[in-house]
Amino acid sequence: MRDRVLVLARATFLEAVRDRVLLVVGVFTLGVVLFSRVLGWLSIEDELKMVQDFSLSGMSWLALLLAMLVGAFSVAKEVERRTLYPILSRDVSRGEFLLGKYFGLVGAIWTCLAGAGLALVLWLLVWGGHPTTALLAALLGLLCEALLLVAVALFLGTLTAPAVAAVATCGFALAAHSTEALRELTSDGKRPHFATLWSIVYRAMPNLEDVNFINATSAGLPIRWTQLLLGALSVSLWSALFVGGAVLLFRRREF
Amino acid sequence: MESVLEVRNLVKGFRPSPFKAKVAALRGVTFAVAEGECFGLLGQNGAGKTTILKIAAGLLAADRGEAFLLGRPSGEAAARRALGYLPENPYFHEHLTPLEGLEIYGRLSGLSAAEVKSRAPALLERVGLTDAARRRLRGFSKGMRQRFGLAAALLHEPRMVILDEPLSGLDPGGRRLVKELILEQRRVGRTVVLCSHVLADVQELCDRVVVLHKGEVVREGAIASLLSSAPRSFELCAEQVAPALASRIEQHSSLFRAAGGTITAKLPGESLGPQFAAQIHADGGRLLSLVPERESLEEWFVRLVAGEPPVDPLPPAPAVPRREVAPIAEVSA
Repeated sequence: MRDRVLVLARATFLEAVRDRVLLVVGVFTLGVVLFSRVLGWLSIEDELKMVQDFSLSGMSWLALLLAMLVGAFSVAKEVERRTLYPILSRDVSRGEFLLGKYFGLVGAIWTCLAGAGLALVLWLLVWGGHPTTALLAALLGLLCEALLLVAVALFLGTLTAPAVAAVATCGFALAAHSTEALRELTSDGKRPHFATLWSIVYRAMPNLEDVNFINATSAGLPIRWTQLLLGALSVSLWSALFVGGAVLLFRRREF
Repeated sequence: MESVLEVRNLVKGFRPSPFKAKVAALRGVTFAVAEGECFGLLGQNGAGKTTILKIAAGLLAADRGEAFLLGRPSGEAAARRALGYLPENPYFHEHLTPLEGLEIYGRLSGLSAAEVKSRAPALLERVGLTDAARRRLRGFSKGMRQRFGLAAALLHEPRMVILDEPLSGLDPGGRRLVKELILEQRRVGRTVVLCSHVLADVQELCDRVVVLHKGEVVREGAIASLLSSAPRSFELCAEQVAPALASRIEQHSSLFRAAGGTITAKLPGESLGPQFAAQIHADGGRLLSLVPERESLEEWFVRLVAGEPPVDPLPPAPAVPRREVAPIAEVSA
């Protein structure tokens, strides 16, 4: 099983890397990192801090955009183009197929993020900055976020039409970043019904703020590595849940 | 003999849309394919051929009934280890080169990287894609994709190959190549299940066929037993034929042509042709050819699905004045 999943992951990775979408989004992100220096010059704050903040935000959007474009459309593309016929007619289970897809997509998006992260570090070094451990934490957090977003996109992509899945993935990302803030906003006791609702949503939904260290990096706050570790664990479990759900749905599909 | 593919009472329906009732594609289809035979699946568009093949390949699940590959349910991934499948109008990941594609498909079929490396170049050469081995599949023509698909289906040397319209979109050279490959599979004892609308190809390649009509099996058997071996007519060509005899031949023929001292006539039935040939010989004429015409699989199939009654392969021959003639064998010689 492991071999087949790895072969499929490699094939998916190769497809994503050779896909123009990844190239365009990757070049765009690199452009954002390089352009951040211009904003730094215009900023009244610390120039390099601006470079770092703007680039990290750009990379966060990159993760979401790629999960939407590549993750949500991935399975639908295979079905529509019938490229899964020569795969599923072999000794390959539907679960192995989806796992391979998932790991391949995660690998492709991680490569893109790692490339953009490396470009950011080099860019900071060029302009005399010093990449910090906080920056590393923020980058690791982005990788964790991509892990979950791809799982959600894949799940929604097997459930519904790819365009709907892409939009829903975007909605999920926004909600998963906001549950904590909304819960805090409604916890003042003025709106008890909303407070209860958001408290439930907060517990029932993954919280992407657990792995978001961009604000902490920007504000120069100390990084709590335990939080990153626990966040990574939580995100991994949620990802496994979504991929498992996708496998269950995909097993029932007919082609 | 062991059944490599067996379908039992397969029933399958499709909903045109979520709120509409199911339209039946298969209504209790049952047949078995024995090891080593080349089996043809015939039927008009919508008869259910591709649905059966997809169920066998694990891409569809039957509503009722069962399909077995080598005795195991076709839905089990492990059952498909012995299967090579070429879908109709195959598409592959366009970003791959044929070598990369074969590596992926081979590894997914349980071959080691070394096995794929040793088999792939020879197979690509066999299907005529050596020159394109490092080009992306994106730029491949339909025929090239078809040939690559065949290579991908045969790479792991499966016990059974399912080929859905393998000759569609191929140029004459490609058609010949694919036919040779199919015959090769038969020679090495591999089971081939072939689905094609070109019935001349099926007649040439297959031992046995099953005919589907509106999701049901309407006929099954060896091609030789389904088609009559007796000729329906003869095409006779001769020269230096006496005018009186030529006139008699013309009276009995459905088609007659005389040019430059040579006559060509189509004579219905199984006896008129040999009889006239013998008379030409006896009268001192020269018989150039006497070609029997038998019903083709295509004619038989068209008649069958049109619901026409079986044609008597031996229509009553009109009386011909008899003369002492030499035996036909001698005349032909």
